[in-house]
Amino acid sequence: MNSITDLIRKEIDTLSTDASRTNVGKVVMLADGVARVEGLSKVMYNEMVEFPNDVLGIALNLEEDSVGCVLLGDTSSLKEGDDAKTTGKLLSVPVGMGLLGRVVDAVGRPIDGKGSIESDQVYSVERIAPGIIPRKSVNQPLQTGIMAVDSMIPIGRGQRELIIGDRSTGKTTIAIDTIINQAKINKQGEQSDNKDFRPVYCIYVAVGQKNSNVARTIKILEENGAMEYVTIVSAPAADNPANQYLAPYSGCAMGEWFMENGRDALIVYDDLSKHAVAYRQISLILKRPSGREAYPGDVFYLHSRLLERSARLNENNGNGSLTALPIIETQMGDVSGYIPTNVISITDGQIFLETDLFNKGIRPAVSVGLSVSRVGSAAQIKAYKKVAGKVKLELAQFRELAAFSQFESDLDAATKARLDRGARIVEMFKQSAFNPIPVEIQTAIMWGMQNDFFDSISVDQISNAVTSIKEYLSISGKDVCDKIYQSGKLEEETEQKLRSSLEEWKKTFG
Amino acid sequence: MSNRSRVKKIANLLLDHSLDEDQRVNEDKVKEILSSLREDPPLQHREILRFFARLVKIHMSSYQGIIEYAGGEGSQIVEKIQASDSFKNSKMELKSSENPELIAGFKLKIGDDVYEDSILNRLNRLRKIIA
Repeated sequence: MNSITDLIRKEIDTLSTDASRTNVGKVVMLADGVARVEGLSKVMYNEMVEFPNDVLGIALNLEEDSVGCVLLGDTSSLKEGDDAKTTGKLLSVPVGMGLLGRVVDAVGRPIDGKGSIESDQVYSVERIAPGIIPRKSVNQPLQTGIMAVDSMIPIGRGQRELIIGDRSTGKTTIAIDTIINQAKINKQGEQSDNKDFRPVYCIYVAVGQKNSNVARTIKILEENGAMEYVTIVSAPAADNPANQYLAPYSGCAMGEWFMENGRDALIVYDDLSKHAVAYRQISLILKRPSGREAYPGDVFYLHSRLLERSARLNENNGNGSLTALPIIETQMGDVSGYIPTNVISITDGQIFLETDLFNKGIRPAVSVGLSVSRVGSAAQIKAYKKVAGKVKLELAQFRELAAFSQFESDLDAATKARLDRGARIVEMFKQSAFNPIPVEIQTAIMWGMQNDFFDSISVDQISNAVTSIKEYLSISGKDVCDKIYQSGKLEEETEQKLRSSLEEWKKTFG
Repeated sequence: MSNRSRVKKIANLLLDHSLDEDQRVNEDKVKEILSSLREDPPLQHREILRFFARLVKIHMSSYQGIIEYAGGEGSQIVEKIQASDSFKNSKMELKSSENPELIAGFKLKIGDDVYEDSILNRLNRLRKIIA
């Protein structure tokens, strides 16, 4: 009892007794999470505005005679005529290591029932992206654990790689696989004595999703032991559009803390199509002029200012990085839509997922022709670069020849060989969900493919062969895998060992 | 020019014509403007008048302060403020009213700005910190 009264007394002692000065206004209109306020003549753009019953809003529209505020939280208690006060603060969210393993809402409040967040630092939600001078080119790989991606569309730390495709084509799965793979690499790195090891922390921002989907994602991450490296920022479909609009910026601020403190982080925005829709809703209620597809004129800036905040910083600025994997949902495979083209032009490449491939059972359904990583092989370890260099070309040739071969009954030997090789590569890239493959095993499998170890195996057995190699190498070929993992190179001696390991494996594979 | 911006522009002009040398709204000038508008009503007469009324209200609130006090010795605070040199120099008009909800202290409103030193305000601040 005494301690409680002491606590309150202490708080009273620290209270300022000066007269307070606030700038006030009156709510004249309320609709769909947006309030129009008369007064507030001294409000700043993006300033937090306080409404009765501790409801907060953000001033987004500063007009001659009124201010448009988006409201955060439960607005059912508000009514016209209520007072609104300026706070002099920009919207901020807690940042730091205390957020790892937690699920928070768009303003950083915990929603996982695990108590308050241990964090003594806050970052403003809207921040200016790093300029040219503190940046460095992307040259460190960020392994997704997905062979089709790591070999053909490598992602580097600090890169922004878009995941784009129709509904139910495995976009979120690629992002979650990547997060799970980071957790596996982090654990492996922490167990090793490598002082240069840099873990990658992850932030998953769920915008406009069903609560059940978010719960499923959390469950998957927990089951795979990845949650301890992950922060989830959730603004589900049931949340008001203001929270959905803010969530990516909040998540980005959390990621920036890692980057600015010399650490590496990965942020997934799932998805920016729904984010644009939420922003359109806010803008229409705020009576902003609408443009194409009723989106406001600054919808490009909405995403460009968000994605520009992902960067790789140079050594003078801590050498940290923030990698972004934004997700965009297309309609009927149309990549020429307004929002898809915007985000394609902002990012450093895209992983395009095709419905047809997905339905054919080729999963992940990565379209080789439409997917690209502008960072390219700069974000691959040397060993992988050596074995994966030709794959994309071989696969592209296969797709082209496969289309023509439908009309030809007799094929020459060279064409037939290319078709056979292509079919085997397609099978090799098939990978089950939430089952990322370590880079050293990927290298070994790719090396096996390049050195004709799969040629005598029938196409329908390739998937089994890949699974068998994975098991074999993780037990009997551990030495050679460790060598590739530690050196990052594929030297002659390593190649010899790998050859003998795969020859041994082939004897066991019936 | 859109209808709304036309209404705003006209209402702003009317406000300019309603001000006297001290930049205060002059009642006679307002009456004159209203009668001339009545004689020759412009397009969107009603909207213009509504916006004009809003502008007049906002402008008047910039030199008309409202002070609320908690009663008892609170009225002395009002007298002190009115007697101060800075108040006399500002040429402000001050209206006072009693508000027992403040418990003690005062709350002064000038335009959109609110200056408050009351027990109610301090308790609210404490409530937020504890919550």
